[in-house]
Amino acid sequence: MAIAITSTVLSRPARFAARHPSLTTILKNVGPFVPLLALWQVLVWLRVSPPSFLPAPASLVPAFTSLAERSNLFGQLSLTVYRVAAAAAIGLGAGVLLGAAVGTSRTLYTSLRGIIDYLQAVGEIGWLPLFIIWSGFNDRTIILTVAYTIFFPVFYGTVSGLLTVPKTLSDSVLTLGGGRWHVLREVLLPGALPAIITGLRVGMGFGWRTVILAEMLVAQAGLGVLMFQARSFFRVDWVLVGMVLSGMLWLLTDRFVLLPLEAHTIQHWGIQVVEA
Amino acid sequence: MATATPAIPSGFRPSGARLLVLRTLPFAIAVVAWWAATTPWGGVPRYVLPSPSAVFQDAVDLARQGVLLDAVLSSITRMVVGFLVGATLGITFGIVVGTNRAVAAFFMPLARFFQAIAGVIWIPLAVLWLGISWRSVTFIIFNTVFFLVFYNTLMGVQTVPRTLRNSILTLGGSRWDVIREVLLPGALPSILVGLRVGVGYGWRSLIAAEIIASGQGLGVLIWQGERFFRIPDIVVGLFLIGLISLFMDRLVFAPLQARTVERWGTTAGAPR
Repeated sequence: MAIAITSTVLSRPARFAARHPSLTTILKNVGPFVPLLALWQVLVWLRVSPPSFLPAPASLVPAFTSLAERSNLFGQLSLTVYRVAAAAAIGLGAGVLLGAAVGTSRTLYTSLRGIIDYLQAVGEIGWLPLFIIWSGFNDRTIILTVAYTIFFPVFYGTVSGLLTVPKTLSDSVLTLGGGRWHVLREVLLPGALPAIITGLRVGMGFGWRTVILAEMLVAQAGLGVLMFQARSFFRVDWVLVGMVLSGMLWLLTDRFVLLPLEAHTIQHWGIQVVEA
Repeated sequence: MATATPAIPSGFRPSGARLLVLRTLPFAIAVVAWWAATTPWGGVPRYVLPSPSAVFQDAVDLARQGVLLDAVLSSITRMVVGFLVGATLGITFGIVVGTNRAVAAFFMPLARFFQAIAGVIWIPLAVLWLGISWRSVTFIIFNTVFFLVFYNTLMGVQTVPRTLRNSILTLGGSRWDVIREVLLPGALPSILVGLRVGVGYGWRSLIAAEIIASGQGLGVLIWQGERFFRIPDIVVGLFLIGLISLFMDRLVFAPLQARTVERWGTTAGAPR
């Protein structure tokens, strides 16, 4: 709701087109980068700043290979991905559990919202120094920090998803003799699922940034560390390679894992409210 | 999703004293648990978690030395500058991209990529290009806020019914009239959501940027607390970071949002 995520249920041909992008789609998406790169190259030719400060676009290719040779690049990337995945599992589990409790109980809703809003306002970075002191400079600290980021969008997604499930649906289950548990399992959770998955997607978008940051501050290995070390060697080209890699990795994850998951959930569980 | 929590449905609202008790109880329990843990019976050592009174004493000391005011003022100043630049550009770009097909075709692929790396991922590059200074920090805030406001503005503009735009044009209005009379008011609720989320996440990226790319501010306070093992400093900083963020949200944006959604909004709250 708050973050611009438009998720539309695609028709069959549209889905096919999304899976097999045509040449024009690719050109349309790559085209705008051409003038940008050209501008960058012109700035390099004009010698706006020394090449070590502003490397030429083409020099990112050798920078990538030298970085890959120097540091076990694949290993570092998979370490970062593993941390995000572990954090997503924790954030999702905790967010759905607490969200389900708060979204179905009046008392919990009124009492816990304040403290949860406050904890969200503090943010993961506020906690990071304490996490380090409590848990040390290790994986656990990073995963905890990223899970903290992912938790809140999942939690709010779950609560708002539960609250927007039409009351008639739960009432009809109750009328037909179902219990509270039935309502939760058959109506509320499936009804809230699209909002939960959207929350997960938003949360992982922010979590992906948090992991890079937490790695810069905490870890000895990972994509964030790679970029941070490149900074202390004054290797602007390596920093740029790291940024491009992190952007592409996130776009790929979003496009091929989260977006299909979201579309699938909406298609299967999405509720179309037809109010009489 | 972030700060825009679902509106309380009507009938979900206990009244008066009960409400107050319900709302404050979790905070009270948290503080008592914290205090109990740090007593000799609780057994949590001071270097893991300082007691509430130690933290309070530290806050008083920091305030007396002027450290606290300096940190808060420099953080807020950068926040305001970065936020204003990011929000202004975000709204402008959102409207231009939302009303112009050619610009959208050019700008959207770029926006998608740069949104993927927006915010703290720029910190190493910002430090190299702009140095360890307020410029890096402000740039990071701008970068975070811009995309959140841009996407929400765009979404708002796109959801304004086409008929409204067309009717102004039919009646002889100009493009500018359409923007001023239809698009801005129509997109306003969505823009405000963007601003609100932008403040929340911009504030966090400010703290992060300060830790790496600056010599002062709340981020520096908590990070040096970790470095030099001054744990009460961290807790004081943590409280302030949350309080300031909540104040910005509740005192500025929530009332603004409530007022505009009432006046111009098309949907409000959850049905029940």
